[in-house]
Amino acid sequence: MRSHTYTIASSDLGRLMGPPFLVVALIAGFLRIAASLGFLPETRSIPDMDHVVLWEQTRHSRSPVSWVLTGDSSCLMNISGKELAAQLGRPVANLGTISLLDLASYALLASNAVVQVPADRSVVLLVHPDFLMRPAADSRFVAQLRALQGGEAASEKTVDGTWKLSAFLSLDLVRDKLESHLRGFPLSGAFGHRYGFTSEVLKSLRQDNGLVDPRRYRPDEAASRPLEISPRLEPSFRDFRGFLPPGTRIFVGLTPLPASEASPDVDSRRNRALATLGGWIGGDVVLLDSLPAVLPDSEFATRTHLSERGRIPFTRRLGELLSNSRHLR
Amino acid sequence: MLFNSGTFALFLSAFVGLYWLVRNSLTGRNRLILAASWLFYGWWDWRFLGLLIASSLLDHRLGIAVEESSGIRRRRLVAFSVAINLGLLGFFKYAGFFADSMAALIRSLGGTPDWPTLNIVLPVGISFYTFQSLGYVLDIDNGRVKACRDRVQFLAYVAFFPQLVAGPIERASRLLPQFQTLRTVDAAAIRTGLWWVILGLFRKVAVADPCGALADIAFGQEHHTTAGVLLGVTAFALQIYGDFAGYSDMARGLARLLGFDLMENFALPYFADGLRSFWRRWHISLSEWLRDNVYIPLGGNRFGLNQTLRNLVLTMVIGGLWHGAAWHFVAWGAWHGVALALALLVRTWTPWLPSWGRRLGVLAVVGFGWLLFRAPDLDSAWSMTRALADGTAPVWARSGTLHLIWFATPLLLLDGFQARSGTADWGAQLGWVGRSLLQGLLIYGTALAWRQEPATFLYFQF
Repeated sequence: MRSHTYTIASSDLGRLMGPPFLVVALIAGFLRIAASLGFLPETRSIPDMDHVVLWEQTRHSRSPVSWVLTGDSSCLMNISGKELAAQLGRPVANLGTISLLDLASYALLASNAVVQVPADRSVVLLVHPDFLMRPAADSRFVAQLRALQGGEAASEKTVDGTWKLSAFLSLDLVRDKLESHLRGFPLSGAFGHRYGFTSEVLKSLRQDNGLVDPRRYRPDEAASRPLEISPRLEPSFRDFRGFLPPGTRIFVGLTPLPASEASPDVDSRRNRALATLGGWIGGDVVLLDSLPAVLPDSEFATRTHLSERGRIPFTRRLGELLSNSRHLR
Repeated sequence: MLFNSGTFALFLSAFVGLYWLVRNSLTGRNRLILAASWLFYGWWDWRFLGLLIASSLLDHRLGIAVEESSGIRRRRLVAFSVAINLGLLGFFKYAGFFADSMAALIRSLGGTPDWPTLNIVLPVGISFYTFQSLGYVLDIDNGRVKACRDRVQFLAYVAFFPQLVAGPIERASRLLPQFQTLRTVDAAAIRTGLWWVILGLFRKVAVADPCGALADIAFGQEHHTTAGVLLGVTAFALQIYGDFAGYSDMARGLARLLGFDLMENFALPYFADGLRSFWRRWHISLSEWLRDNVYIPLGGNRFGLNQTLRNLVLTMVIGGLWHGAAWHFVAWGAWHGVALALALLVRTWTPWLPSWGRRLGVLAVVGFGWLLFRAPDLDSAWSMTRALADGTAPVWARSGTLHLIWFATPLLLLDGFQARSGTADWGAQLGWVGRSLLQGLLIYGTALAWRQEPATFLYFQF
């Protein structure tokens, strides 16, 4: 027994399914032409936390500032740039990022800002002890930062594996040149509950010059490792000074560990690590060895980030150290 | 295997090719549909495939036995089918809930419950296929349908992959005969099927998922605010509608492409001007199932006002419990039951309200219902309800409003056009220029909102 009667030819199928896809291709082509003729607004790639921070820090680094903080996410999350500026009595830019970048990227971000001031150039490099032990930076985000510094919209190209389809359909243009000017993008998890949207992260980053990690710290003994430096980092630390304009003062510090995850000899290990880093960077680098190596668990949001409660005292402690340094006295 | 995933696209392509190859054999096609449907279901968790097969085989056998018997034996067979189907549903869906609730009650009375917490994995779609399979036996008992003697046809009817995991819960009298007769696929069927698939995918990917992101933000707050709750409830109302109606559209569209005709499960529910009308437009297949198999057997409206009101509330509470084993679902059902009962009591004056006033009233009642439905528990629902009065707004209120307008506008426009045209396949009936333009825009919007990790459908968890 036959199950079906088909009263449709394959040409009918083409006529039914082809035109909608032609419309899609026309939209994509129209957008590509409009972009190449410069009819679309400038690129503003802010679809998530990583991108919004990279985008804003790249933009911020184009403004002249003589005192710059740079480093990994512990620099961004543990320091309120606004609070530090008030304490030091001079403008400060916290250019820390969330994404895992390499040391050259942190140096370039700082360099872009301080190169525009004639004197009193100071760069404070703050990284978490985990930064010294991790194998490598995330190359996708390093490429993303380079692209942003070059004025490209590279969110899809560098971070999303489906970029070819996205670029073919001009979806990247819609997101980066149209949507991102009109609306923020929703965030998920704890950051979503705190900030809601990327536009609020942007706002907060501009107002406070730092971000708050809203998560709640849960000790993880398995993550606890004695503080060591990966020897593979030596070349990049030796190159660090070379990325900065001549005469730039360099401060180096390590952000704290939660007490429950720190080894008993963490202070001595931290000081040895700082001394090694100072030796690699060379010159009269200032080692911030009076910053606390360990803080109570209650002041942390994660193993690497201080909580809202912990970051302001830590910022003040950093401010005191910088104020007392001979460069500011 | 989600409709909005690359895996399903591959599955469907392979299936359509094989389906074409066996077009000359009704049995071959039914066997292919059955095999593909079982593969589709087993993709989630092959362990539960046995459950689906066993319960369908049992109901197939029981259906024939019920038809061939009478009197007390017939009643016993029907009761056996009800007990087995609801027993399975009860074990997988409600055992943990009742054990936890009992433990909480004993603790509140000062006792110490000494049984472990049950962590039973809920088989996807169990509520849907159990109701469809059980409904078949009940329909035979009520003389609405003849027992199906062909086992493959019946198993394919229960497992039909377009509607297996989230409905519509098809009545045997409607869908089963379609596995028994010649099916016609013409240009109009393809046009309509494609329209529903494109529309459903757009509703899911470009409306429901982005609105869900806002709902997650709003419902996840530690401290709720008035504007945050209102935005969250509105976002969830659009999410659950876009998600479930989108799934139903896709199910209907896929079935139509295969030559089947599934029932309409959503008919512009947010345009309803009364609560009864809302329930005739929202999840129509479940509303009809509950009406025929719960409300009417309870007595319906045949025994006076008080009985009618009680039956309404009871039916809706059972409907709430069907959605999930948690007290906030029970509260959601009870809220709708009480609201329906009140609407029945005050029906003499509601016609005097202007149409927009009645629509707004329905949206308010349904909206508060969604707050109960989406809140993780009753405590959260209560704290959100209290926040409605404090007149505050979250820092993301402006962005949330923009987000909502951005994603809700296309949905409202599409539904507005459907309301004007009066038919669900209005997009397929446009001239080819209009149709191509509209479908092209919807495909582009879907691609723009597409995520690499497809979001699951809300109703899969029920």
